[in-house]
Amino acid sequence: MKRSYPSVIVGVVLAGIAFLWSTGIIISRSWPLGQDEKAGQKVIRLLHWQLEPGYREALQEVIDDYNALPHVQQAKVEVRQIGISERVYGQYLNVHLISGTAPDLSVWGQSHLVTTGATGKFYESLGTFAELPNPYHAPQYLPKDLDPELARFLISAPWRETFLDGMLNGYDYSLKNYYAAPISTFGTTRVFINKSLLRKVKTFLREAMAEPPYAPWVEATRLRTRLNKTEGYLPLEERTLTWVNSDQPPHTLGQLLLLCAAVQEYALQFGLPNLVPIAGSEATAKAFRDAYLVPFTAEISRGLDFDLSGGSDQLETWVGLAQGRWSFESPSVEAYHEVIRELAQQFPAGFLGLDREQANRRFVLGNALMIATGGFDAEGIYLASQARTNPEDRFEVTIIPFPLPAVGERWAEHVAGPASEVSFVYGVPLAIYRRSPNKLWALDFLQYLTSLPVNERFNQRAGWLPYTVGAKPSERMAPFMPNPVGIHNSTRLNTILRMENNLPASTYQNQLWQYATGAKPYPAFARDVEEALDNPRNGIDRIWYQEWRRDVDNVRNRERGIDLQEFSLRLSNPGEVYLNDPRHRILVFEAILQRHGQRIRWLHDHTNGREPFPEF
Amino acid sequence: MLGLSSCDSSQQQALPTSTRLLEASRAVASHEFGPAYRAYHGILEIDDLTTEQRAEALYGLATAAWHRTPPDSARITMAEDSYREVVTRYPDSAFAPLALRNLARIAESIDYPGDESKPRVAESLYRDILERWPDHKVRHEITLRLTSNLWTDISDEPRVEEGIMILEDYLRSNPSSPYLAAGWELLADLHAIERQAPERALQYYLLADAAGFVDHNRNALNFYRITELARKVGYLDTEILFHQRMITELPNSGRAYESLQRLVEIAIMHPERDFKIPNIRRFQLTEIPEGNLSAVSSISRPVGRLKEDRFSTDKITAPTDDLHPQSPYKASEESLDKGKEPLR
Repeated sequence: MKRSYPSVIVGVVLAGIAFLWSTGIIISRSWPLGQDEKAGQKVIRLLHWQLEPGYREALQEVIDDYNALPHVQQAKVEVRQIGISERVYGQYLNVHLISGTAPDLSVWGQSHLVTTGATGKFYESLGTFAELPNPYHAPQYLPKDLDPELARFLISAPWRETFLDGMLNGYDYSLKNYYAAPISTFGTTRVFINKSLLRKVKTFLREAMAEPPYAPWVEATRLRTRLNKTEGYLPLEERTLTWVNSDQPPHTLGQLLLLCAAVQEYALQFGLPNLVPIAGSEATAKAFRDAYLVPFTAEISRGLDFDLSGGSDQLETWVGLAQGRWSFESPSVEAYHEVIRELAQQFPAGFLGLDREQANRRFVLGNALMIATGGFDAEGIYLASQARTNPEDRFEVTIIPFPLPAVGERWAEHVAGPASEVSFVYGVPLAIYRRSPNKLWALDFLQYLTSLPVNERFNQRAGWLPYTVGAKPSERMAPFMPNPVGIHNSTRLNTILRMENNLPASTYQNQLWQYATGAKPYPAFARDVEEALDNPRNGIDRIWYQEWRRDVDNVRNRERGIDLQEFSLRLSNPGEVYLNDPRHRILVFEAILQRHGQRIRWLHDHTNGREPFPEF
Repeated sequence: MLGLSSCDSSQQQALPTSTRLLEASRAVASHEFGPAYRAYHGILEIDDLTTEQRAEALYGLATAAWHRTPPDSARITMAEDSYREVVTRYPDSAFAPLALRNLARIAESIDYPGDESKPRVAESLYRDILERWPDHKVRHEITLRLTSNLWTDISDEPRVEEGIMILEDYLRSNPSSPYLAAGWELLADLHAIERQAPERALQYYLLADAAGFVDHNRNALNFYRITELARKVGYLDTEILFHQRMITELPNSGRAYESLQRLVEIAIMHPERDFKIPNIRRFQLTEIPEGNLSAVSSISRPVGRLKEDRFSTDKITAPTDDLHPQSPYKASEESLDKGKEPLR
């Protein structure tokens, strides 16, 4: 194609102007401290990458309120936020961490300097403050109408205990210290239901079940045994009929699958080829896969718990399979995979090739009754469901947790209980730069931001979920609050997480969907995984070796941490060469406990007899 | 703050030795092992260093060399040589016992690909420290390191027993040791896992708890282990107490709900036992999903069979009537050899 010469020049000039303008903005935002110090002002810079609509505005409101506090004004302190794109955040932070010009507060993560274990080098530990109450939970800062029990708790509890997960999301396990305080959570994954479609499908279902005999598609969902084989999902009796005759969304897995059958039939009868029960995608499939893992495999997991940790990690899971402690024929394992297969049948064909956005689009266009996704998609889905041109196409959304099979339904006897959502995904963990000249003010702002009333107001305004205990989310986001009631998240077959060169896990992940979509029979799926386990190069032996290597590296890191702590203590306690400091003690204890990978070797000998420990 | 990275060598040389040592220490504390190594090297070139300054600089040099990345055999050998020099040339220095300890740590560590752990070398060095500096503050740490070293090969029963004996004797004769809880927990962990001795492990865990667990982030794990071990050996009161504490003290641990489930189960199975089932603090929860709770029979049915007054939001305290007046857990130590349930 021929391009005119002047237009190229104009393009280059415009690009140059844009570059200079951006550079100017970055420089001006990077160096406000020096300018303001001249005026005797202390500027606390807060760096983050949350550019979603509403987030910066909500943060600015909080910052403005803080800057207006009398003691903050008196000290001439001013907090400013710097929001930059996630794409450049890592590089930006790396450069400033190394050059000593990093902002006083920044979101922990993204920078490879931090993710590769140098947290202690760049960020200030918060351990001492985590053990003390948050000063902004003093009575004068708490709402007058706050639950008195909650108020008492907040006033006296250590700062760390005032976070939903005890501040563990800001804890560095290798350094045994707190380095960040998250200020929001992403929330949990839930099932979104199109209420308008739900009404239509339930009307259709009500008519189909008005009186027996039911249509064959309804009868197919009836729980029954045929030729020693269980079929269907739930008994079609009074309880089911009561639910069918209500406007309620599904409360049980049986009801959800009955509803799916109704959607399939509805689409067929009304000629709606694009309509599917669940807007499936790779992400949706994973959401369902993970949601049912703990309920179905917790009991087996408890039996694999060699180290009495209350769950089974990757090693315990795969060793358990290699030694026949569980198998693909174990009833609850088989039941779990049946559930996943039944659910996968409700997704559109080729769902593994679809991404989250495509699934969301299908749902908001009304071509799916349900979708499973996280709170981070809620705002977008709510808005899009109301933004259709034709008002008749607009719909309300209802949110439900992943329903479990109820008593009397298929698979109910294999369910140990719901999964706790305590290991939820947190967001925006803010850490204090070690070289900040205003560390205590940065801490003060962080404590202000994580106090109940402020954290609640901020997250409600931002459309995110609060991280502080007792803080209420906005009405729309409430269904996404993590629910700690349930079995611990580690109590499950740990087949999913993939370690480097872990062939059994990667085979499991790939073949699961082959099976779930009907492309591969269950015995063949099981055989593939078992063969991967026996692979001499990347099978169970490799997993043993990797676990041992990981332990050895952990001990080595802890030993390094011990010396860092000793040198730090010497700086703050001149004349003292060795101090029995609590954090130092924790590091020593953890290093000793792991015994340079000897526990893994013992476990190997204990479970494999005289087999030599694998080396790679 | 003066950073080494922002200070050239001529500037450094102009500083007093004490300041240079301080800055080099600061570099180690900040993970800056390369600059720290060079700084200590520069300090060691000063002619009129005092003995203690030279020992400190050598110790710092060795530490920086040990932790520099990527690790290799030359750096580790350099670290060992420097630590050895501290011990042999400056045995009266405050750094000498620490240098010997670090030689033992290096012997045990696997520092680079192809490196091997040498536990016997480390053992001999640990024993040497305890012999030469029996009253030094580092002895507590060394005692734990030595016992753990003796447990390297669990199949070597005499050495494992010797380690247990050394640690038990030390903990009993040093009740105010900063490593008291850590020591009991180490013994508990060994007996719970490798030794597969649940009753003894339980007793050790209770002693560690009485001393205040060394790392509160492990409390949920330790409480869980205590309840499991108590269940295995049939110490119902202990199991109940720690389930109650899991709910009241660690409601955000992700284990509180399982403890609640188990307490309900115990209440059904043992109606004669009078104990409270604490509620998980309500303000820390969202509503329990309606469908899920009612869907699971193992949870909903037993709860329905219990009277409302079994549930309590009161703080749970250990029953004290049968226990030592000074400590609710004192009885557990006494019962170690008697095979009694520690908490009644």
